[in-house]
Amino acid sequence: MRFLLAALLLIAATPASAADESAYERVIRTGVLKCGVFVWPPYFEMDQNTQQMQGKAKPFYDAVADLLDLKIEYVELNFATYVEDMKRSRVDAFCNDGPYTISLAKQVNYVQPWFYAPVFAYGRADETRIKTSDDFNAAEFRFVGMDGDLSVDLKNRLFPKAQLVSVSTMTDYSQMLLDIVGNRADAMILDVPSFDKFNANNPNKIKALSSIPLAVYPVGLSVIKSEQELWQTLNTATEMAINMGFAEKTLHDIDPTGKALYPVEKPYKAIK
Amino acid sequence: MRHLLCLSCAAFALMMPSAPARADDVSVHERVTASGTLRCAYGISPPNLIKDPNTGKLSGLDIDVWEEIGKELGLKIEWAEEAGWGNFIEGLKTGRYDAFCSMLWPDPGRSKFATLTIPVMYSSLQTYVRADDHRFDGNLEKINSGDVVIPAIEGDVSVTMAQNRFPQAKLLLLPQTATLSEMFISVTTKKADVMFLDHAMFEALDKENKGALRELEKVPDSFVFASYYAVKSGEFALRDSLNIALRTLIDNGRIETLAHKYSPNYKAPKKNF
Repeated sequence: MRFLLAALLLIAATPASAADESAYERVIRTGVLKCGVFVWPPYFEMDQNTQQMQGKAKPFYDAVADLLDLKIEYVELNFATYVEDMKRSRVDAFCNDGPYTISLAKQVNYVQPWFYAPVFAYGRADETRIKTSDDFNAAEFRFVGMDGDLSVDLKNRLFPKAQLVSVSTMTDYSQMLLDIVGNRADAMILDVPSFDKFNANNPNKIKALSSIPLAVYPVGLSVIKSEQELWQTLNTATEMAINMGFAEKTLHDIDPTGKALYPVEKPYKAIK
Repeated sequence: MRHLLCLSCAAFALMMPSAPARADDVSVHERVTASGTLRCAYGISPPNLIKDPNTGKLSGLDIDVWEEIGKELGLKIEWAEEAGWGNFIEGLKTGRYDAFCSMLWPDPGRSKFATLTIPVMYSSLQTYVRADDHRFDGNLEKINSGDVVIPAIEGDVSVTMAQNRFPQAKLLLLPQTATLSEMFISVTTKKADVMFLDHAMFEALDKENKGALRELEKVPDSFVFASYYAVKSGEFALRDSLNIALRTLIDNGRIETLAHKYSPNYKAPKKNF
């Protein structure tokens, strides 16, 4: 009985466990924002020599953390588990989420975007079957995609009759494009900078099959639904980073043409 | 217009709790709803908020905007106490007032420890240099150099601004008690080289120091900041009510009309449509 009493007293005296702590409280306590990322060039890629996360989108997220006087640590995650990883506190937020995946909107809150990514269907360079976007929606047409990525979401909604060649969530997107080159699939849905990165190393093998975007997706940070305070904090910092010109500068580094990605419109105007 | 008013009032009413809670459990939103009064803390910053030294009467853009918010939500706005931008978060935490009703720029502390509304107004800062200093004419990026000094107040958003926008420049750190006037003097006395102000602030300072500084010409705005109002961290229901009212004021053009009364240099949030 005495042991039981001591144990109960010990439990009562123990502060709330780490599991009870919200991501917001953890970030404030530690001064560190752990942000999950997908390795997806050119936005984020692992430097093989230093094992440090690099990438052309990184400076924007560094700026968001800096505006909050926080240190940021990047943690590589995958499509299959990243929401669970946030729920289990492996990371506090997700950086460069998306393009936003509508099927996950019930589980995560998206912070205001800092740019929009138009996405297109890409297929083999000798593909001739596609005259209009309706031609994608044919039973013999095969899209390749990975679960959790927008490409599967969008293919199922826009082209339900087309086949889906599903690949592991650990697959590099360039491998999916090589699957198209090897005729194991016919098309995939992708943003322009990702395609450009592949095309630079594999010229003339893949081409855009549509000139009009299939959709335009917002890109930014996300947190799990219950993290209202962290969401608000990151939202304010994102807004400030946009207003201070960090979004524009980072976007220019990702897309020097200024055509592949769309900046957010300025939210203000001079009064008349 | 009456429909819009009714919609906002209805939205606020829908957020009302259905049963009274214990006093120590009562949120600010519940307290405001029950009393019908929202108690504001404020900071003096012309032309947003001015206090008549003789009568103590408050006026300015913030006063006008909050009167409109009060109408939208069916609340009486009580200007409870003057507080500083450096300590208003503590007053929100202890419940001395319900909102900080002066526009503020988000610095790290405010972003992390207060809950902010949607942006109320945007202000752009221009670059000011000594009248005879032409080093930066036509090229703002020349400021980003190790031999340029920018004055900033310790713990203030001016530090974050300068460090992020011009990381190579040096900072002249002034104590937390320092004012804009002291930053201004640091440039006129050559302890610093450039400072960033909006037109209204500059005009006020220039009256006392006619022609000492000039606006850098042929360069874009050095900074654009969104200004927000704040409530206690985690008061999402109150924030959402205020956001509904603010969005109504923005979308029907009232906030732009109010701003125009005070300065043509404000930048207003765009309408949603």
